[in-house]
Amino acid sequence: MKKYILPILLVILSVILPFIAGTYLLHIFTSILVFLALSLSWDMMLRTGQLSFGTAGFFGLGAYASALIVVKLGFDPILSLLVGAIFSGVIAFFLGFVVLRLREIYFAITTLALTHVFSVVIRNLPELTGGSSGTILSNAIFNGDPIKIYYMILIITLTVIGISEIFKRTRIHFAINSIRNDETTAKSSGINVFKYLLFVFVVTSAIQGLVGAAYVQQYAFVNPESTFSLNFLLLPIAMALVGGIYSTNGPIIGAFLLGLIAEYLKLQMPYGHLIVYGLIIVFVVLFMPQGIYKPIKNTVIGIGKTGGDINA
Amino acid sequence: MSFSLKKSYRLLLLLILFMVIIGIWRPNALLDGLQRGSLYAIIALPLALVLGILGVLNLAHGDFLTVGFYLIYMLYSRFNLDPLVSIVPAVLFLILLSGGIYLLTVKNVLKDGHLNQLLITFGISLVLIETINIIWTSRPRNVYTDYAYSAIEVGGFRFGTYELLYILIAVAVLVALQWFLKNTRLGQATFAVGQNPKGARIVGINVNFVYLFVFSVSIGILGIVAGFMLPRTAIFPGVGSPFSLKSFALAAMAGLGNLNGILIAGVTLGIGEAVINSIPNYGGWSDIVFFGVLIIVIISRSYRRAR
Amino acid sequence: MPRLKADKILRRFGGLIAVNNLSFTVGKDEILGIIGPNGAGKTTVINLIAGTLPVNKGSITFRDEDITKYPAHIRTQKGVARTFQIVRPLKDFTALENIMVGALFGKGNKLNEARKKSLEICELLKLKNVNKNVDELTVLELKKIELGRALASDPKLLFLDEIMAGLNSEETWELIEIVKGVQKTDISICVVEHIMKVVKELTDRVIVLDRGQIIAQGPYSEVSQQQNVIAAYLGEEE
Repeated sequence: MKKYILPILLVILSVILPFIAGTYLLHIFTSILVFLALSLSWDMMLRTGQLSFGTAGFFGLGAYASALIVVKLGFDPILSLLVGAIFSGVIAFFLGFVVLRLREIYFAITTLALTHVFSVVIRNLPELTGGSSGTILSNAIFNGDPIKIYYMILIITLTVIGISEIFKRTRIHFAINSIRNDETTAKSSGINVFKYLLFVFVVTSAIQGLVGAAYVQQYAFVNPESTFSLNFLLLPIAMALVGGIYSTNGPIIGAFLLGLIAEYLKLQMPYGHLIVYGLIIVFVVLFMPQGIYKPIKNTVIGIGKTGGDINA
Repeated sequence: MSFSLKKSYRLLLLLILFMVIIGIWRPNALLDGLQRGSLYAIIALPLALVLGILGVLNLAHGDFLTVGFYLIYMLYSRFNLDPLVSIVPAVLFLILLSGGIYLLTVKNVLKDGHLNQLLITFGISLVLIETINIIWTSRPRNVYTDYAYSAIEVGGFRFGTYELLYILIAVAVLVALQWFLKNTRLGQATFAVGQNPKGARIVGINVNFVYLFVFSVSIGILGIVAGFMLPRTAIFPGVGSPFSLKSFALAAMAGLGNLNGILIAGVTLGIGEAVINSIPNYGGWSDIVFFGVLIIVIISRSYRRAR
Repeated sequence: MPRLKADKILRRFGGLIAVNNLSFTVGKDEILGIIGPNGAGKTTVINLIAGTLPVNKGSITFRDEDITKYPAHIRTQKGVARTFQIVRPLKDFTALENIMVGALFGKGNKLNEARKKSLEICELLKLKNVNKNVDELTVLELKKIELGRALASDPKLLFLDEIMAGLNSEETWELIEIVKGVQKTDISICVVEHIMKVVKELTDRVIVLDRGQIIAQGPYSEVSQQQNVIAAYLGEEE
């Protein structure tokens, strides 16, 4: 039971946060949770061995689907979140049949190119999407109430954390870990490699679409440049790397750490605070390929072992 | 990789046919496309070289071009140095900068998987862009020179002469590169490392030096491009980024190691972009040419390989 | 009906024909040896039957079902398992987890069933360090993992690709005893081997391949005396 105490405390803390934190802090945490969910979704795909650069693309697709269905068809904003998720998921499903044949740099580059294609297409359909100037929603979700918005994002993020844990604890973990380690062994052990890749690709893309939808409903505004911004790719990657890839806890730790640092730096230097993310990515790849979560965990377990109260 | 230095005659013929048709239909687009395409090709050549010999896709490639731009811009605004003169310091600076970055970072991930290689160049890209952002902010900058806007008129058809230079430079860089690979000791060593790094090491080639040399000189070439492009280009911190992906598109289209193919692919896509650009109301779709072609090429290659 | 029937299977690599119109069967309760000089096409045969590579021509029938068109993972689920010549452990897993993968996906077990069954297999294989990561294991232990993963998928036909290579004589005997035990559980076995001692000890029958074709077959003691077999080997080694 001991290992559940910390997670439960953190969940309780996140639930009561609006009552103890001011608007500014709440806003920062809302935005950290957004990037946390993206970071986890990117990591879940990476666990299959596929490096996706399409995070911003599916985020943007979900954002647009959600915004347009509210503006054009008068959908309920909360329902539109689901629309965003489903739209990104469906697009990923069909694209998956083609792009999931690719590996390594070819998969990475194709997903990056797809992000650009999405944004070019949207920019060039002005009647539908508002073109390069974008579309403004008449009202933010919950009339812009920051507390309700925080809870909405919190629910989404907790759901994503839940999915990530399911991915870690069920046979899905065995399948995708095998695929990453050795595809030939995976196949000859009876794993339907393509089925699992497609499944993970669709789920993670749907998550990205959902988060994009929530984001756009929060800010009541979409435009190709800001909605498909590579920040929605870069920051999640940096967060996962710093915390530690192939885990749930890694991206969570990374998101809070980098989120808070970035917020501080944004106040200190208006231009170029993103340089920190670049430096962090380079530094982590070179010197701490495991991120900070695993080394910490191992030390803690190491201490526990010498104390004799943890049974391996 | 294996360099195919043989001329790609069949492709070349197709390209010429394509150009004739475009030339009759939209002569302006042909000229525009030729210029763009040549630029794309010179920028893509060094990326293809690094990809072929080191096996690293450098996602910071285009951002090194940006660094070149800003350096030349600074020399212009501080010391009123002509951009074309600044090419010399720009090339030297880029060689030193990229050589240093290579030794500090890329060198250490050469043996790692593609994941670390992509991520590290991705990180470098970000650092370069943001450094420029910090020093010069995101405000667009320009350099004005008279000669960049000179034009001539032939039979009622007016066109700029300066951009024609791009085509000459592209051909010159390509020829020089091939001459180097064939006729110098270092070039042949490079060639050998590209073919078989282990074998090259056994016969006594200093593979590490070849890697360093290829990486830094490739980036150095971008200094030449930056000098010629700057008089006609408004620059901002992200100006070079799209070239990384576009260059990879050309390298993938030409096939690894096919240097001539890159010029052909560059000109083809350049003209394609220019044609779409020249269609009223649909100009915005031209951005899709490269990404669309990139995706189609990669995927069709993967199908062919599977068979 | 034999358990496996390969009928005129053919595989090309570019211009080279690696397996040329090869037909053979593996009977129930049989241990078949596939031998032949280097480059004879032995591993390619395994790849073709296990589905790691598609055949260019010919058909494969397994337990009265045509499996020629099935991808590798389906064949494994149907009961064709294999090991790899160069061990391919899943390096982010422990020894036990490696074996569980076979039970989970080859057999379709639930997690706790798979764990239980894999522990049984570890016992059968005398594999002790079940919770160690694979990078801490010895060659023999890695070979056992390879075998264990295949066994966990509950196969009816098991291909062992040079599983004794790189082991000392004591370890080889240990593994031979294990394989003999496996055969008693209604699993047909096909061994590709270079070590003749192993072939002699294990197999009921051998087929000798040279350049993708069968040049001899029968019990090892007979086949090893045939002139063409000796010639094929002499052309290659020693």
